[in-house]
Amino acid sequence: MPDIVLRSNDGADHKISASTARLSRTVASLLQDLEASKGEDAELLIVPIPNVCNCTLKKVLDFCEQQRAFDDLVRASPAAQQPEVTRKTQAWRETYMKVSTDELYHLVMAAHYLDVPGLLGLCTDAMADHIRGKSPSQVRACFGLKPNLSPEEEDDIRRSNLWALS
Amino acid sequence: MDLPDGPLTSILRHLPLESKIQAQAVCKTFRDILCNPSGGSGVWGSVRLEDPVFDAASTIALAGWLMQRAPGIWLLQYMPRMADMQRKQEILRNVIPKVAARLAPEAAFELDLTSASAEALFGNQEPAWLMPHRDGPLTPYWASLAGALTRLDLRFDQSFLTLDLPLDRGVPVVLEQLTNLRGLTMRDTKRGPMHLDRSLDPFLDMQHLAGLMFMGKPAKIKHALQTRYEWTPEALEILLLARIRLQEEAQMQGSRRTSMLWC
Repeated sequence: MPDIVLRSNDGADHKISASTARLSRTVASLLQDLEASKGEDAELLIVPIPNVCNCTLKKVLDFCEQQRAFDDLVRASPAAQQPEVTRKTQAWRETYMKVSTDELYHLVMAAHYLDVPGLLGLCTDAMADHIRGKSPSQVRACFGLKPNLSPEEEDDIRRSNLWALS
Repeated sequence: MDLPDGPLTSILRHLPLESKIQAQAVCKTFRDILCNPSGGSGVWGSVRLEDPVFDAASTIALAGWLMQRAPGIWLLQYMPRMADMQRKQEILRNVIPKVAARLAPEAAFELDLTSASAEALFGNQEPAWLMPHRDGPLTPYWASLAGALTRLDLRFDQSFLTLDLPLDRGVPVVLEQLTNLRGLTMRDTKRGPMHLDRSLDPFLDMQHLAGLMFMGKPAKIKHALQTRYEWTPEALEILLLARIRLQEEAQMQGSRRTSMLWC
């Protein structure tokens, strides 16, 4: 299949190769259905992504492009060079994940909706860093959550985890 | 910030153990994911124990606590790691028996160690201590593993009773023998033999008593003995000195055997 266009919910188009787009299982499933119904000679396909804004979609596609490039590089590299490829991948991902909490939230939602496992794992790991070492009240503040456990429930949690929480 | 369960579970899965425990108190959604038997197993399944953790006293509490949430983890992750560390005698002596003793009874039955693996895990080790489960007796299964490890030694001043349990026929045999003991005899070198003719499951009774002893409740011990065994006051006083000690059994007449001593 030739290149396809993913259209964000604010109308921005992103042209990418079908093989890259298939890193999103949601898109891959859609493409599979279309291939079955239209065949390989279909026109340039425009796929609307209603839940993702332009900025976030661009970020997701950056990941997919890089992921595919790294996958190709791993396949093409001899075994001796694999550690170097891995190191480069990790360095790129560290830079990629330098985003605000708000951006990270939108990225998680997009990765979940588009079903990109690699990106979802990366984002949730980064989000876990926002929780790590924080008290429950700090986590609530970070995520904008309201305390909705009753005093009895909180007591119960505290009692059964006394050894760890004290 | 409202995240679907899938990503939220993934986030929680990435957390280290301490943060997971803390996170239960964040909100209902976090708590439900972390405590839900199905979702919780996945979340806690990612817990990794590094060597230094095994040196911490909290590890002992952790194992029992974790087992109640995700029993399968024990078999899949903890056991192999502990087996890897068999050479560390300090850990074997101080941590593994206590961890085993803290396992929830239902969780213990999740384990399906063969005799060979039990021996590989517990065999040929230095003396170790076994404490009864805080909230109840050890299960026969775990006691059978304990038997595979060492011997149960209940010390009654100068009185003793020895039961030999053959290990070479495997854990199931040991288990069977432990659960079918009847008519135990305690030999008192000063006062002559005393017989314990018990209609209840003697193994569970022993564990019940052992638990009371370790919890340091002599009044309850006395009550239990008076109501369940009708022992004499002298015997009660002797029993208050009791303790449980697990020891490795040396080679005995060319084949390994496990002894359970009351002495």
